Amino acid sequence: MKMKGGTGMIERGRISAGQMALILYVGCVGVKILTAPHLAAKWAGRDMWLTPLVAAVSGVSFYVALKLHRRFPGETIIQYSPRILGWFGKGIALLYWIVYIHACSFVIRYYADLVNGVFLPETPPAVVMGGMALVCAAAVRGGLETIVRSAQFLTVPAFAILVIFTVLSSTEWDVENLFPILERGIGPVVRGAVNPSIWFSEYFLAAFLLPYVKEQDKAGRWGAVAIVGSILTLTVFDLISVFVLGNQSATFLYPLFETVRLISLAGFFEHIDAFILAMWLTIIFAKICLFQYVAVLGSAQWLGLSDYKPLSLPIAFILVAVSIWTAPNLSFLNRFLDGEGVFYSHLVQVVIPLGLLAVAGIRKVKGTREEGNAS
Amino acid sequence: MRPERLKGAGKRALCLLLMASLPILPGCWDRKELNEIALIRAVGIDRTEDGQIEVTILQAIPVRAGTGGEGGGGGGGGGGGSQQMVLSARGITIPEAKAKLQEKMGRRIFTGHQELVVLGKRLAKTGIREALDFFARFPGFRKDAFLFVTESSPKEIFETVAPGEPTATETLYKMVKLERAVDITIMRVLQEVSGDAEAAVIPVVMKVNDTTLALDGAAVFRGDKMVDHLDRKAAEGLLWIRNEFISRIINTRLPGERGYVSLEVTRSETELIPKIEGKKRRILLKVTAEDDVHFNGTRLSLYNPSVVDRIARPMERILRDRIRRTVKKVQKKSRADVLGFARAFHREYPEEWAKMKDHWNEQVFPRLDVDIQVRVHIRRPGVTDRPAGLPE
Repeated sequence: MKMKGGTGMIERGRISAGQMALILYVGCVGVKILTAPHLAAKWAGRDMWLTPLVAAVSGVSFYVALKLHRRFPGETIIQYSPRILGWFGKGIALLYWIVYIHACSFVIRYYADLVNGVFLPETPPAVVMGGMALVCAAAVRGGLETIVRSAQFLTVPAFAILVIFTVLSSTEWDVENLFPILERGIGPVVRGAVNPSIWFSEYFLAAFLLPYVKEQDKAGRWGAVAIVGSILTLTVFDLISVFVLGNQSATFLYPLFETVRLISLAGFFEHIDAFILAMWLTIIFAKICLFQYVAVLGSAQWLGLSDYKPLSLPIAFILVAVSIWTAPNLSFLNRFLDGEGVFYSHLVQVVIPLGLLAVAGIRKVKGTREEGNAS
Repeated sequence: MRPERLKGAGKRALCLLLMASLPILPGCWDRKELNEIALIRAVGIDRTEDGQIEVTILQAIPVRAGTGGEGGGGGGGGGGGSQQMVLSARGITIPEAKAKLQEKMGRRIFTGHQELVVLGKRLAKTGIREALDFFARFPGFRKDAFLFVTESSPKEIFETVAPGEPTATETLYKMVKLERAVDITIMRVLQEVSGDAEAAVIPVVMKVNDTTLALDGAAVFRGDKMVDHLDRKAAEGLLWIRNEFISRIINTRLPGERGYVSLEVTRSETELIPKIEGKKRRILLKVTAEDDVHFNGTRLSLYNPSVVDRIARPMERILRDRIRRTVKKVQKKSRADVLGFARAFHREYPEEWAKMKDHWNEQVFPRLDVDIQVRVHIRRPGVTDRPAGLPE
């Protein structure tokens, strides 16, 4: 980058490797825990709990990001792709900016469709989306540290409570729903893994976080922890969905909610679905923050600005608009993320980065910056 | 931009942002105040003679404090001391009928606390798929509401209020909770209708008189259509086979003794063991039951182990006969596998299952050989040793 000030690191915050792992984990499972069993069950039926294991292959995107990062320490993909490919690389960087705006719009849309579809049917979607985008804009303004800290503070208890509540459904469990395992072979499981693999490929977001990780040597290990954690989490939620809903897992769009709604303990501990929404809100908040942050940081870096914070509010508005345009309805969204979406997300988050890595290797381009150097 | 200017602007922007988000974040747009909603406790759905759908709702009327205790015996008939209102409307589809109901009410229909669904017999016979779809699709309905079928109209059921109970649902709901009926929820029926056997059961409720409701066996569904009505005894056997135990008193006589012994089955577990030998398909039902003695009309002491054994054997016979009768009825008359056999075969023989699943209810299930093994353990003979009230 030639522009003055562009060479400096505009993100001053530093996060630990564990914090990076947490936010990536939330980014991977955030939407999934709610909708996953639905799309996976459509194909894999009662074997859907195996799909996260297959889908986790896409977690390789994290290691691609890590490899690129090692070559270009202290830079995000927006910065090093022009370094590798010149003006064409600048175009690729723009592509990433657009892609993450698009991806973020999906997440906001999922959130809004749930809230509108189940809880607040009369509130205009733009208000639901706008509310979330504004809060996230405030968080993004606070910088990376604010985001990971709030994620730490909010999502860890939220996940704990979600897991506990889902386990409370054990009175409704019918473990026999699980059998026979792999009746129709591994094919349907692989097909069912298409949707989760999209979320796993989003581990590539690490390309935007790694430059700001304090303990560089631990990053790879923590990434693995996050990926394994995602597999376990998704498997548990899928299993519970099979246990409780059985063949109805594919019927309901939000199996986790239907499961939780069936919980009734001792005749008084019931109707806790709204509480679950509150828990999930914190998770989806962290996830939207992550995507929005990447979009904001990416745009500032692409334009060579000295600060990204002033962009957070305008980009929030763009995101709301894109979220409204992004899909006519939820079934379109689900169809996309269960089909073509897999090529799109893997092209952007696995294939192109691998290409960049290869070209960088051939042209022997290397980062110029000292590792972890904040200027 | 200089840093300090940025800081001031940033703070102001942040304040504005937070203030702007305040009115939209608490979700007040969709607020539902208690005095603006009609709390629906039960929904009844039936088909009229001209093929329309009739939807009946039972609205609970919250009573003012202080008036609740007074009308003790005055319930019934929809007026007087009861705290409910029953309304119905017709339409081509359920949502249309519901919309017509809404037109008659000042308050918004709120189904978040709905506990019961009563289906009329005509609807049950013509198919309940539409009703199931409506309940599954509409997020405001709870999928753990209990389902019932009735021979009379749902409206009549709702208007039968027991003295001392505020609403008719209260009675039915308590019956389910007492395990007098199985808890067949919307979710259960959804699972069963689209499950391996494509068959479901729903308990039947009937009106005895103006203030009394009673359970009257179970309706058997093949696909989404009611094909049979099992009487109380057959329905009991069904519950045993399906592992949905309800406690029941069973009387038995001992050979060579006068008087009855009454036992309550307190636990029961049934294992289904399918077997395919060549062309022959059989299934073994292994029932293990635990009983308490409630009454001993004979002169025998129940603290003599051999006597306990003598009671257990006839009990086993009685249970076996009952279960056999149920199986036969369901196999030959209903021809709908509500016993869970399909699932057992699917689990044990996935490959063979693929071949027989298409004609399961029509051909395979009615011709299955069913073996029944019953084992009864008497756990608690009560707190008396000898029969009470006998001279030494």
